[in-house]
Amino acid sequence: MKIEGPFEACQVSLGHITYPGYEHLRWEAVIQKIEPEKLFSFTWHPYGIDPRVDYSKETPTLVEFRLEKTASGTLLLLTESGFDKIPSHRREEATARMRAAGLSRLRTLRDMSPRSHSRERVRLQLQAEVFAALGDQTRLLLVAKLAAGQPQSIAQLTAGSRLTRQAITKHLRVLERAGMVRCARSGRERRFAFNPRPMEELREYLEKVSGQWDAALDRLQAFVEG
Amino acid sequence: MQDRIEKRLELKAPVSPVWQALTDYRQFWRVVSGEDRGSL
Repeated sequence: MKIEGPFEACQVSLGHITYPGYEHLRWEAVIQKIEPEKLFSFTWHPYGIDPRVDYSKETPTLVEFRLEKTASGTLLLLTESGFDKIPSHRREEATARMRAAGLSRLRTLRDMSPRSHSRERVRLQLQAEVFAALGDQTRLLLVAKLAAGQPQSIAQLTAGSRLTRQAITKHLRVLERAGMVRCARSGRERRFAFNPRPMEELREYLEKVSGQWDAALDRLQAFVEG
Repeated sequence: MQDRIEKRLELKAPVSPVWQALTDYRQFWRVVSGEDRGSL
């Protein structure tokens, strides 16, 4: 990777991968804060490296490195947040494309040909939809209810709730769009069942990203302690 | 389920070289991606 210049707060930082065969991939981040020896943060679009795509209207994730002096050296706190804020039109597009393409395992930069990179973006967008679907107390309760037992009708899911059937139906549609709930007819009744796969995919994705950060921190440790 | 990743690492090195490794644009990518070590 060749980054084009020093990092400056509130400035875009651009880079190009120099590894043979991957020169078409780019890196772009917006440096948010540089508080010397305390805080370095930037926003970026994870896997947002396709030069043909304009990511500027999408909400990025925020990466923060915080440093604290300790008796034995330095405490580093790293956070990456905001995986749930990818816009809804992207999520809807992602759902359709993901259903058409099928799910595949998460790939790293090593696999990122333009085509595989596109699939990777679809996966990320679908996962954002799952995050968004879970970002509501009612939907979380519905998921918990369905995950604990048998498929249930809207009447069963509404029982004991202060919400109307219409409201429950609306929440179930959001969960259906995210693939977390499946609907099947049983006679005249529709019954909803929990589908664990999207949450498993989401967990796998976070574990993968988390693993990449672990590897990066291992390299940092070797670099500064070596 | 959380939508954020959090890491905590105690380094046996002063703050300055850690800061330098993270914020020097020439070192940053090498640390983050390991590209120079052939991880791609």
